[in-house]
Amino acid sequence: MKIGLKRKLLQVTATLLIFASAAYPADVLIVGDTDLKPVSDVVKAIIEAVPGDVSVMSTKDVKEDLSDAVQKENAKVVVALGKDAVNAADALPESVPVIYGLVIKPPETKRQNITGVYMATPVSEYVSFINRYFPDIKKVGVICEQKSLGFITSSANQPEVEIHSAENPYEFVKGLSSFRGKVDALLLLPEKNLISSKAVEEVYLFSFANKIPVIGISEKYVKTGSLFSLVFDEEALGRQIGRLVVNALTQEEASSAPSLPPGRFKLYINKKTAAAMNITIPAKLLETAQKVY
Amino acid sequence: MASDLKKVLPGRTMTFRKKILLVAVSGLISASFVYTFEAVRTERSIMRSEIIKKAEVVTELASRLGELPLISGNPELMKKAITSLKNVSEVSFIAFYDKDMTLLEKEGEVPPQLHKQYGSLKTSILEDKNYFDLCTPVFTVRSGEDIDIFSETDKDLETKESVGWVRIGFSKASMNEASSRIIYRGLVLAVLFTVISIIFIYKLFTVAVKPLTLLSKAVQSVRSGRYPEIPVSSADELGMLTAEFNRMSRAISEREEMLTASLEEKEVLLKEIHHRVKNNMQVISSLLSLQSGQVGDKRYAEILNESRNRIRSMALVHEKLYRSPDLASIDFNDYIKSLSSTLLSFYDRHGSISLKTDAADVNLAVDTAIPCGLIITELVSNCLKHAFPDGRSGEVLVSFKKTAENDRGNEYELIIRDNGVGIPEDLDIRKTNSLGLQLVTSLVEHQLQGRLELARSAGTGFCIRFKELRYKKMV
Repeated sequence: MKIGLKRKLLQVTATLLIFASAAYPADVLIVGDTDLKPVSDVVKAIIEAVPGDVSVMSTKDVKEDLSDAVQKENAKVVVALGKDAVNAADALPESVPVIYGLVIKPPETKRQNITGVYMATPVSEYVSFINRYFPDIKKVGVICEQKSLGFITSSANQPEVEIHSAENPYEFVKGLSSFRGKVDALLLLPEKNLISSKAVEEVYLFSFANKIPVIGISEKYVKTGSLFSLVFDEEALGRQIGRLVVNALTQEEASSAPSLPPGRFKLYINKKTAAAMNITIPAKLLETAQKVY
Repeated sequence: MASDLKKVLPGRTMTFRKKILLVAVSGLISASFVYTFEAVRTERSIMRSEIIKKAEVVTELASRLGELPLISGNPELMKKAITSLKNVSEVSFIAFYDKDMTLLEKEGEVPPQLHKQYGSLKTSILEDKNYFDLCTPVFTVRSGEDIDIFSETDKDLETKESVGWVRIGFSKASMNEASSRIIYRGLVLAVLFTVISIIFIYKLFTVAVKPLTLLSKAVQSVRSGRYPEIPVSSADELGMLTAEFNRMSRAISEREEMLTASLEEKEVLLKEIHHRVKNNMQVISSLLSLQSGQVGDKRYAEILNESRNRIRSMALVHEKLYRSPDLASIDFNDYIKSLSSTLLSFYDRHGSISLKTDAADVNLAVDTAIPCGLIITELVSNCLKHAFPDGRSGEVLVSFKKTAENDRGNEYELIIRDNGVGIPEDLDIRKTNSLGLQLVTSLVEHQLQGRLELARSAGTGFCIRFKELRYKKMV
C-alpha cells in the first residue's frame, strides 16, 4: 500500500516535471524509469545540480527511438538512467554526449562520447571499510563473472581479497565451498547472472553454517541476514551525474570525464547477524548507520 | 406365551417387541452403513487432499532442490537431489527434465506419457490408480533491472527463468492402506454400534413391555381360575392398566367366591332335598310294607309290595343322587347293581337266580334315571317272579350301554334278558292287563320316547333303545 502510494506520488512528480519542460527546448534530456523511487530521487538531484533546462522522459516512452526525442528537445546532453535507457542512448549519434547512471557497472559499449556513474560499490571501498571497523576480518571472498574479473581486480588489488569466477548460479554456489577456512567474510557483488534467489539462500546457509558473515549488496540483503552493506546514496549519485552533465555541456565530449563509482554511501547494519557471528560492531557505526536491523 | 397367542390370534403371530426390534434393527443397520459409507468417503477425500497437499509441498521442495542441478546440468547433483527426495517414503519416482522436456535423470519407473500442460509453466497433476504424477517447472529467480538488485523491489519485477522440469510420482499405497483400514474400522464400528444398539433397544423394550407381559400372564392365570395382582410400578398408561386389571381381578375373585359359596349352599340344599325325598319315599315304602303285612289277601299284599318296590327304586335314585359328586346324575352301573341286589333280596332268589349286570361307566340324569329304574324294577321283578317257576335256577342279565354319542344327545340301549321259561306266545305286552308291563310300555314310549323290542327265544329279552332326555325346566 505504501509502495503504491509512493509510486503514485512519483508518477505525479515526474509527469509535472515532464509537462513543465515539454513546452520549451531543453539542454538536457533525462531518460529513466521515473516510476521507481531511486530513479526519481536521482532525477531530482540531477535537476538541482544542472543550471540549464532539463527535460525528463520515461524510458517506456522513448525506448523505440530516442533520437526523435533528442531532436525534438534539441537536447545537448542525454542522461540515461538504467540499463534500458543506456541501451537506447547507445544508439544515438556519437555527437550527442551520453551520461549514464543507475547501472551496476560501466556499460560495455564502443561508444566514445559516454561517461557516467555506476552503482556497484567498489570492492576497495568495502576492504578499506572492513580494515577500519572490522579488524578481525582479515580476508574477504568474492565471486564474480569472468567478464567482471578485470573490473573487480582493478578496484581490488589488495591481498585481503580472494577472488573466484563463476558463470551461473550453480558455479556460484559451488564456488562458496572453496572459501571454507580461507576467508573471514564473503562479499556479495551485484552480479545479476550469479545471484538467483536460490543462490542467495545457499549463501546464507553457507554463511551461518561456517560462521562466515556475508557483506550484502543492499538494504534488503542486510534485512535478510547480511552483516552490513554500503549502498550508493541516490542524492549524491544524482549530484555526481549532474556534475558530469555540466562538464559535458561545457566540454562537448562526455568522455573527457571518466566513469565513476558512487562517491557517498549509506550504511545498513544487522545487529542480530553480528551477534550470531560473535562480531562486535563499533558504536560509532551504529550511530552513523542509515538503518540498523 | 407365543404359543398361547398363536391359538388365539389368527395368522402369523409377531410380538410387539419383535416388531419394534425388526424396525429398529433395519433402521440401525441402514443408518450405520450409510454413516460408515459417508465417513469413509469423507475421510478418503480428506486423506486424498492431504496427500495431494503433501505431494505439492514435496514437489515445491523438489523444484527448489532442482534449481542448481538443472542450471549446472550435472547428473551427479541431480542424483543427489533425487536421493534426498527419495527419503520421502511416498515418492515412487522422480525425474528431471530440461526446458524442452528431455529426460535428464530419473529414479524409479517413470510413466512414458508426458504432462500436456508443460508449456504453461505451471504445476500439473495426473492421477493414476496407484499414484499421483506431479510435474512442476523449475525456475531461477533473478532481479530484473539493475536498480532492482539495490532496492526493495516487488516480486513482479523479479525475473523468473525456467531452467527445466521436475516430475514426481507420489504413491497412493499409504492412502489405499489407510483407506482399507478406515473401511475395516468403519465396518467394525458399524457392526459394533448396530449390535450394541440392538441389545440396548432389546433391553429397553423388554423393560417397556414387561408390564404387558406380566399382564398377559396374569390374564392367563385368571383364565385358569387364579386371580393374581401385579405390582403397579409406574403412574403412566401401563400403570393405570395394571391397576385396573388388579381391580378387575379382585372383583372377579370376590364374585367367584360369592358364587362358590352360593353353589355350595345350593348343593347342600339339593342334597338335603334328595335325602328328604329318599327318606319320604322310604317312609312310604315302609308304610306300604306295613300295609301289605296287614292285608290278608295275598293278591293285594303283592300289589302293595310291587308298589313298594317301585317306590324303593325311585328312592334309590335319590339316594344315589345325593351321594353323587354333581348332585345331578348317578352312576347307573352302581345303581343297577344296588337295585338288582335289592330285588333279589326282596324276592328271596339269591340262591337260584344269578343276576348279572353289564353297564359301562354311564351316568344318567335324574329325568332318565327314574324311568329307567322303574323299567328295570318292573322287568327284573317279572323275571324273578315268572321266569323261573318252581324254584328253577337261571340267569338274569341287565345290560345298559351307550350306543351313540353326538350333539343331539346320547343314545342308550337297555337289555333285560333271562333264560327262563319265557312269556306266553300270545301275550301282547301292549295289550296286557299287567300293570307292570303297561307301566314299562308307557315309560318307554311316552317318557323316554324310545322303542321297546321283545325277544322270545331262549327265555325272554326286552331291548329298549332311547335317547337321553334333555333336562326340561319343570318350574
